[in-house]
Amino acid sequence: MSAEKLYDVWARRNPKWEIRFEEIIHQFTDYGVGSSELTTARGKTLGAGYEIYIYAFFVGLYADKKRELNGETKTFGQPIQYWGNLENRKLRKAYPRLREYIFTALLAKTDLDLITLEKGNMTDSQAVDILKDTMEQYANYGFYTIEEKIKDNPNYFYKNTGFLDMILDLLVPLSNDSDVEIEEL
Amino acid sequence: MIIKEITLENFRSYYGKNTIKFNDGLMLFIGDNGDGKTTFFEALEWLFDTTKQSMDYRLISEKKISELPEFDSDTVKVSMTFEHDGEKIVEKSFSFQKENNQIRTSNFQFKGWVIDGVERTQIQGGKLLDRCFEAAIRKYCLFKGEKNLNVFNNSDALKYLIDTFSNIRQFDPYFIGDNENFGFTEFAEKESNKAYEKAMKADKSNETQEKILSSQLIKLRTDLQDVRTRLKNNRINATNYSTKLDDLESSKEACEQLKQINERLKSLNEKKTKTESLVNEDYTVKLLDEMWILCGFSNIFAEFQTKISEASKEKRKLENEAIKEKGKQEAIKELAKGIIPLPPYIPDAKTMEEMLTDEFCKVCGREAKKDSEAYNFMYSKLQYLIKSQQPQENTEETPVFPNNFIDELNKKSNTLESNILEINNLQIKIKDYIEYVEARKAEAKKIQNNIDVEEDNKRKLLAQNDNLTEDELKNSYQNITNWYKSKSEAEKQVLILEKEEKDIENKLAEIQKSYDELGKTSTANTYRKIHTAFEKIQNAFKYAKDKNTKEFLALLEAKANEYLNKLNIDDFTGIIRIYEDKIERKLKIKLEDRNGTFVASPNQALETTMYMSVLFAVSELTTIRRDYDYPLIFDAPTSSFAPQKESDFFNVISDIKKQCIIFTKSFLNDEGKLLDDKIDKLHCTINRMEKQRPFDKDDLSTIQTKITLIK
Repeated sequence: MSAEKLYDVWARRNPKWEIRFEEIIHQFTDYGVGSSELTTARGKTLGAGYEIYIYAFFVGLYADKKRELNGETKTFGQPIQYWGNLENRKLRKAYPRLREYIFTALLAKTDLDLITLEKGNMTDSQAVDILKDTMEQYANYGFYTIEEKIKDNPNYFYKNTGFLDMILDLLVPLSNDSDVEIEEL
Repeated sequence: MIIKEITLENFRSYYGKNTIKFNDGLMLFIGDNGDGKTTFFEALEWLFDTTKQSMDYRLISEKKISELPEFDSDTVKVSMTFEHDGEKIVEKSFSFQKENNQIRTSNFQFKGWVIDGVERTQIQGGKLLDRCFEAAIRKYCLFKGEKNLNVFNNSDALKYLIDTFSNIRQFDPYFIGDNENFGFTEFAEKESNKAYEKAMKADKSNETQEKILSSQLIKLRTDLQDVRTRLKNNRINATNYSTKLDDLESSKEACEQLKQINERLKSLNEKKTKTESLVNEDYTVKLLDEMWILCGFSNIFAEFQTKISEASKEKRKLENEAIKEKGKQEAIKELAKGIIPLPPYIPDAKTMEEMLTDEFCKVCGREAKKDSEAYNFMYSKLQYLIKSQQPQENTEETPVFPNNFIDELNKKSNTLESNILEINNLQIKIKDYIEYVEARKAEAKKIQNNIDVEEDNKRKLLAQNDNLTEDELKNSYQNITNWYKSKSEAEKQVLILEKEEKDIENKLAEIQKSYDELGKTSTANTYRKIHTAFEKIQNAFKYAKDKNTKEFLALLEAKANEYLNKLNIDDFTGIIRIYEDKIERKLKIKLEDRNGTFVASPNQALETTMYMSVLFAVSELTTIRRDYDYPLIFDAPTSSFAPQKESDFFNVISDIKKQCIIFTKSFLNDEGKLLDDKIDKLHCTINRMEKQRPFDKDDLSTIQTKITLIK
């Protein structure tokens, strides 16, 4: 019997991303910048590098499209377990719980046989490998989408609503929600 | 003089050559702040200045300078074609050159041409302008802002006007009326008096009496001269302090207004800061910090829950099957012995204990002595029963599911589910938040508009109080006590001295009478008669000159009131009075109501129309006297007018048969767009002035004024 929780095993991982997105990560986050310098002082939209990664992941998740990683890859310095912890950045709030939601999304969207895992016919590490792979592929798709958007309009993400709009555009609009339900009923 | 055409070339924001045609009657130039209205006005001021050769590099178009290649030169030019006894042109210009990025100006020219058919005769521009548009008239022609309309604040302005435009100058050779210069009648009176007194002295028969009287006369005349000098000085003092206090009065009002504006600005700025603090548009950060990014997560979480719940169900099913499987195997083991045993609880424990105590089997009715086979059977059966009734200990079998991840995931599902309602509502929450922020932004923008209006009011106020800075305005009360004291002291002295003057004059008249009585009996009587005649002639001229002045002022007053009535439709107008201030001996203009009550502080719009009426009246009278008209040019004269009053005002002016050029920002809405419906109602020529787009708001060299005829 595994002494560890599946979540903890997953959280210790460092997901990979294609090295071609390093420029985008640099553009919007403090990735590769000393922690003493504040985001606001440098005019960056986000803080740590993983923040744009989380964003890219949700883009892929909501679009429900994955893309396999290709070519050279890289990882962030911090494993998932530290993502969203409060940093010494002014005016920011910690969001540790978001990690857990990401984890549940991976379980929902990954073809992982929990019974096999429960029976011990697969190790937790093997299971987490599959989850991480899903995560990477969603985020990879998200990064490609972001890249495309910037190519179309280099200022798109510098609008206050840029990042938010892209997410909202992937969702079923509010007003249509009830219509869909009614039809289904 | 009627202006026909004006050309501005490279004059400040007027880049290149800009020619504007003028016609008689009202012409409006509509432009927003910074659109070049005042620049146009100042170009005319520069052209009309015949006193100096100004080649200020600041007059040059920044845009032209920025485009000018090194060591190249160009020209700044303002020229005007006008009608005044035929067509004439005046043109003022200078050249400028760029050298090592410095601007050098040179070659000032002020030219004029008189055009006669096809012939053009050149004449010095200043001279031509002075001839056709004399300096005295120019005083009443160009007006910047509202406050400067009162040209009569200047103590000599009205006297100058009367001297220039009434007939009283014709009296000058005969009567002047001041102590330094004499007209003929004054000269004759003085000379005949001298001759008369000389003749009196020559008459020895009255010698003693003449000596006494003439020494009294000399003394009284000296005293009178002295009193009059002091009187004049005190009047000047009273006037000076009165002017200062008048200025202070207007600055007091301005000071009060400034205080109110500053208070309003403070409150608006606070409100704006507060409203803006409610605007947090950091939506990207909120995606993470507020977990807004979960706004589409409901379905995914439901998917997760379904998956976990199914896995859990599957696991339990498999576990049950395993248990069943085990139970089945045990039963098979027992059946293999061929006998189906009784359940362990038959007979029950009590019965068993009783049978063991009695050493007798009451089931089969046989003895069962201790340690016998039967006894041991019963004993072991009891032990089995007791054991079967106790909780079962875990057997050390290999579990079906060695891991407990599904349980972990179930727990996670339960924990996270507590937030799911919030997540389901996120889209609504985000929409509401954005709406809230947009509303606050709109509110802040509205407040900013109000701030702009107040700032504009402040600028206007400071501009109207020309030479006073904001700080000076705030501190301008300091001398008030001293000035009031000095003014009232001077006024008191004037009254005392006036009485003294009267006394001396009476005494002088009395002595003069005695002297004349003595003269009647003297050989000097003929001289006396001649002097008396000249004195009467002098007084007649004095009276006639006064009458003329009064008549001119009465006419001016009547004309001014005609205009005032026209300009103030459906409003309190009052009556303009032009009067002489008794203490200061100065002509002043005031507004009275029908009952003769002085309107102490008319509102700015009424005051403006009052002065404009006087200006129109002056213009009309001078035209009558001189046969020549001249234009009136105003820069922003109606800043204080309410919109309706302004429209009425412009309509009335357009009906006045006079060339009137007005630069204004009226008829523009808050966004700087023309108010077409109001413009449609005007019957005059209208030009639109605006900055050519695009321009860089921080770069003067991109600013260029464009004038378009719109009506």
